[in-house]
Order: sequence, then structure tokens, then C-alpha cells
Amino acid sequence: MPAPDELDIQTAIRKVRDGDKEAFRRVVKVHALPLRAFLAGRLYHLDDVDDLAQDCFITAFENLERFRDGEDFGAWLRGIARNKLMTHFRTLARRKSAMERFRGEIAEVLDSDHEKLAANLSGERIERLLRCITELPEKMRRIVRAGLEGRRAAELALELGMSSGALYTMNHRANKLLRACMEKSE
Amino acid sequence: MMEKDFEDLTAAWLGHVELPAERQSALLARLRSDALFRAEFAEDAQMRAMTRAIQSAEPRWLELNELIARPDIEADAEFEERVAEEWIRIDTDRKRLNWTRWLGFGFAAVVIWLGSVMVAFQFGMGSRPTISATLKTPPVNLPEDAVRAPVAILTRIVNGAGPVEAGRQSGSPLRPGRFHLDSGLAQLDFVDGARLLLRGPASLELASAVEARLLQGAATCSLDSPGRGFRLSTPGWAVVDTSGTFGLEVVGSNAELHTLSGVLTVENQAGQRRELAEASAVKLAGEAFEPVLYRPAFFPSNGEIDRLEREAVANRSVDWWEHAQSWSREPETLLHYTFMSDVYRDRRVENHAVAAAGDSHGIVIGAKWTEGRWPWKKALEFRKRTDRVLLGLPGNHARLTLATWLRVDGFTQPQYVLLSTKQPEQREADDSFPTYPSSRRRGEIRWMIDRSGSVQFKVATGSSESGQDWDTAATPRLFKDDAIGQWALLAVTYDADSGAVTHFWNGKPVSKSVMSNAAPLEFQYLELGNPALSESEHRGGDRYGFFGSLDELLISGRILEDREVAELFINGKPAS
Repeated sequence: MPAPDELDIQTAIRKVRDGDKEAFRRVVKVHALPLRAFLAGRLYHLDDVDDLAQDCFITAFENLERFRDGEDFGAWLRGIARNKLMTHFRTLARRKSAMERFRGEIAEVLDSDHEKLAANLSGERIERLLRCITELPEKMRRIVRAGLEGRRAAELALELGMSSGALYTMNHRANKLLRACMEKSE
Repeated sequence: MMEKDFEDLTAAWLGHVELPAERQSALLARLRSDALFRAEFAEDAQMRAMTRAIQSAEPRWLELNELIARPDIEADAEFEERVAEEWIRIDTDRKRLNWTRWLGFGFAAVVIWLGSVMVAFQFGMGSRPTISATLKTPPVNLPEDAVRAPVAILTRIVNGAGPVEAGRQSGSPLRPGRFHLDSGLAQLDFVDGARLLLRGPASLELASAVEARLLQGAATCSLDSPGRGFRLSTPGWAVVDTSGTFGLEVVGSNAELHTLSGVLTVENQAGQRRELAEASAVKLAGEAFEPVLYRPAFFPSNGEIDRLEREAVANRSVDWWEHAQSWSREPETLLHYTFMSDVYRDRRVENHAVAAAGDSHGIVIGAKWTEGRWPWKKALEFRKRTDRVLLGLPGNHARLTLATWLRVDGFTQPQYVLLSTKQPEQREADDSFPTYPSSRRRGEIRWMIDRSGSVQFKVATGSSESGQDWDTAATPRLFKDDAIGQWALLAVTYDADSGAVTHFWNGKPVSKSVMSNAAPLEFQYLELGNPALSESEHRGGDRYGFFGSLDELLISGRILEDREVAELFINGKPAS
């Protein structure tokens, strides 16, 4: 039995095919967060995430006749995202530093694990994260709020008087608590 | 405490540390072999991704919005409010992004930046812009991607030729179908991890990311991870599993298989499997599975392709430099940026044309130096919408040829401007807001690529009537999927007397047209890369942004013959 959101999506897709382009907004609304989260797991820069996410939606919109009724739209969208990611990495391949290539290889190795995790994601579920973040202990909340990307990690370690290793550990624990909180709320 | 491997991997993934190659290999090996470790790391990375996504501002997807046709995503307003309410509950010291506020900051930043550009230009100094543009990727290559995704990448091709490979360079994606290599060596990396080194003459049928069939020639195959299921078949047999590297030679209906490292499993058409030990070889013909002399040196190797590549690059680049110098010496050459010695000057691009007049050295604003067509040569990389080179080229030109080597790395904006006339009024704007004239002076130019991949050469008519600003000569679509990320030579010739415009793509004329309102070209300054926009362009929401690199620019005061443009291509094309 498809989930209510999925039924909603199938209806929206039918409307788009019938000429009501505006109905695609419903598709975007339901799938924007899961898709951005899926891409953010593979890309380092958030700007790239949002650009590619938009690109995926445009592809999906323009190729909607290829989507078969009854299939999992999220999985179809992630398939498009994978193609986009490949083109993106190919484009960057020549200019990549050794470390960037290494990160690309890590992303490749993690691909099937990420896909399994992404299959269970919904916008609603990710939104629950906001509430879960509020329930974290103060120090963890600060780390999750600030994020560890780029120079923020070093600044945060300084502010909190922690080593970078301790910061990663605390972030890791926070992530486990968040996952447990999301599952508990279901 | 966190396990050391987990900590190092996290630090590397977040870009906080540089790890030596051995450590990278060890961590990758652990990730591949330890499923629990991998799953835990994937969960951690995914949770960080989700927290980033949910906490970042909702993106404004203008491109998508335009496509769906209403000016604003009203349906999302409700969602944004809901997220904002939740956000307030978090004891925030950093308020959620407010678009109105950011527009205000953006506007101020544009004003400040433009001011700095004008000051820098007037004092002959370059300055790095401090604002960046959000890049949007339009769907130019989508239907093909959706239907026939690439299964492999032609990573390297050295001294290679063949009807199918004409125009192909290293980095080209390969889709299912036949791949011919008349001569030389090619390296193909399959999406699923297999690597094939192919020596021409060879013919290969690419079936999918995990399957290929060698029809003729010699190949060396290796997998980056054992047992991933790659299948390389020959007439009658298929290598279905390997933990190492093997060589395969097919001549007619006979094949020889050599285990260069590890152990192989081969399967015949009846499904019977045989194993082949390391450092052994067999002949596969019909049902035959006969030992033959082991000849490991016969098969292509990484060392061989490395050596050929080095030799080719050395030869080709020396040839190019000799020809480039002859172009620089020609009296009609107005401007020749070879980007050879400029990297030492950082923000200045030297005009190598011997007969250069005036101050035609360029000032680099924002664009960065990157690797050019040869590993030791530089090119200029354009990423932000403000990246450009300002150059002076005063004069009145009835005939002109423009030629540049460029690499487009993706279509992120509707239009890419390569070269355009800089309007003098822009430098005289008052400091409250840079109000550029909307109308174009007769004889101004714009050389650009649009989203569809068509190249356009435009000459301003000087007419104030709406829609009559430019006389345009456009090509059919040149930048197709496979051209993205590849070096290409673009050239255009213009004759103001006859109005004739000829576009060239990789040395060949691809479009000839006549402008009805042709005018001599007149300019003081030109902008290479992304131009400053006029007031009406600002108001109209026009978006330009070249996302790629330029390596060499030649401007000649005469019409180059077809033969000469072909020579520019032949002498300047990358070695592999």
C-alpha cells in the first residue's frame, strides 16, 4: 500500500501530464529535503547540492513521461541524481586534488549504504530532525547547529575547548542520538 | 573515544586533513572490507548531510520556478514558515536566512565590488571580487543521460585514431555500443570499477557498466575491487570473475587469456567454469582450453601508456609553442594571449603579439590560474559570475578573426559570454549605483555561447528600437554532451564590408552567414569572460556566467583562411 505522500505524488504527476505544470510544486515540496539530504551526503559544498537538486527536479519534470505509474518516485529521482553526480564528478575529475579524489572514492564505496539509508528518508522524517536537535544536550546541539564543514570545526573546537578528535566523537554521538530520536518519534 | 580509523576518515571526509596515499589506501581498504565500519560511517555522514540540509536556508530555485511558470513558489511559503517556527524554538544565535536581508547585502556587495573593479582598472591593478554567484545547471544534456547513461569514461587515449573516436579526447564518456581503436593505446574506466587498457587496432563492444566484449585486439583488464561482477567476453568464453589483472588477445575466432596477477574464473557458453592460476596462459578456441606460452609483456600496461602520454605531450606542446610564436610575430596579430609566462605576474596577462599597440596586457579580475592543455601550461579558470579579464584593444576594425581554446565545464547559466566590448560609461558611473547604458553603441561585439550549445557572434546595430540591438550570427548546437569538459578551439571571422561571418569549431567551418547591418568594430576595452551587465540587463534578470577555462586567445586584424584555422587546431590540440 503506497504511503499517503506517494499517493499524493502519483496524483500530482498525473496532473502535470495533463498540463497542470503547477502541480509539480507538490512533487518538489515532498521530495526537496530528502533529495538535498541525499546529495549532501555525497557533495562537500552546499551550493553544489542545491544546484544539482534543482537540476534533478528540472530533469524529472522534463522527463516525467518516462516515469512509470506506481513506481517509487523517490528512487527514480535518486537515479537521476546519480547520473547528475557522475557528470559532476567527471567534470571535476581533472582538476581534483588527491584529497578530493579520495573523497570521491569514499563516496563511491559508500554508495550502496547511502542508497539503503536514503530509501527510508522522507521530508517529514527529516523535518523531525529539527525537533530532535532541540532535545540534544547543549554542547552537542551547538556542534550540530554549527556543522563541521570547513573552518567552522577548528573555530568550534577552540570555542568549546576541545580537540578536533573530541569534536568528531561528540558529533558522532549526537548523530546517534538524533537517529534514535527520529526512530522513537515514528 | 572514537576509533582512529573512524576519526581519520571523518577528518578527511570533512576536508580538515591531508592524508598520505598509503593511509588513504588503508582506509579505503577498511571501508571496502568491513561492512559494519562502512555502515556506521555512512550513517554518520548521512546524518550530518541531513542536519546540513534541514538547517540551511531553503534554496531559491529560479530556474525550476520559471519552468513551472509562476513567479514565486507560494506553496513553499507555508513550509518555510513551519520550518522557521521550529527554528525559533532552537536557541539560536544565528538567525535563519532572510531573503530580503540577503538581497540587501547582495546589493551592497555588488555596489562595493563594482567600485573596487573601477578603481582597480583605473590604477592598473586587479582585485579579487568578494561576492559569488549561485550557479544553476540547466538541463541541456538530460534526455540522452536519461536514456543511455555512460557506462565508461575514456580516461586516456594516446596516439589513437579511428572513425568512432574522431574528435574524442581523454575524459569523454562512452555509452553502450562499439568502440574502435585503430592505433595507439586507450584507457577505459568502467563506471562499476573495471579498467581496460586497449591497444589498437582493437574493437570492443560496450554492453553495460559491468560487461564488455573484446572482438579484436589486445587488452589488459583489472578490477579495483575483487568480485564486483565485471564480465569480459570473447568468442565462446567469458572471464566472469577475477581477483587481479589479466591480459586478453582476440584474433579472429581465437583468443588467448593470460593471468597477470591473482586468479581467474572463465566460463564457456555451456556455463562450465574453469579456473586459471596466476602467471599462466591458455588458448580459448571453441571448446578448447589449451595451455600456451605465458607472455605478460605483450599486453598493454600503465607504464606503457604513461610513457606514450609523456612523449606525446612533449612533442605536441613543443610543436604548439613554435607555431604560437609565429602567430605572435605576424604583423596583423593584434593580440595573442598564450598564458605562457603570465602565471609569474599573477594578475596580469601578457600580450605576446609583437605588433601590439597600446596597453593590451590584460588585468585578471577574479579568474584563477589552472592547468591548461599541457600539464606544464596554465589557463584561466572562470567560475564566479564576476570572473573576467579586462584588456585594452583600442581601434577600429573592418576585419577581424577571434580564436580561443576553451573548455566548458558545464552549463550553469543561460548564456556564456566569452568576449565582449566593455562600455566606457561603466567606468565613469557615479558611486551610488553603476548605471550602465542599456543601449549598445554601433560596432560593439559579444561573442558567446547560449544554453543550447550554439555559439553566437553579435555586433551591436546602434538602433534604439527594442529587439534590434544586435545583429547575430549563430551556429547550430556545437557543445553537445561529450564536449563538456573537453578542450575545443572556437574561432570566428568577421568582415564588416561584406557582413560575412564564419564560425569554426575545432578547425572546421561550421556556419557561414551574412549580417545585414554590419558595421566596423570599434572598441577601447574588451572583457574576456563574464561581462558587467547593463542596467536593463540587471533589471531584466539576465544571467551570464562562463563556467569553464580559456587557454590562449588570438585576435588578428585580418580574415584567417580556412586552412589557417585548421592549422591552429592541428597544432594546438591536446596530446591526449
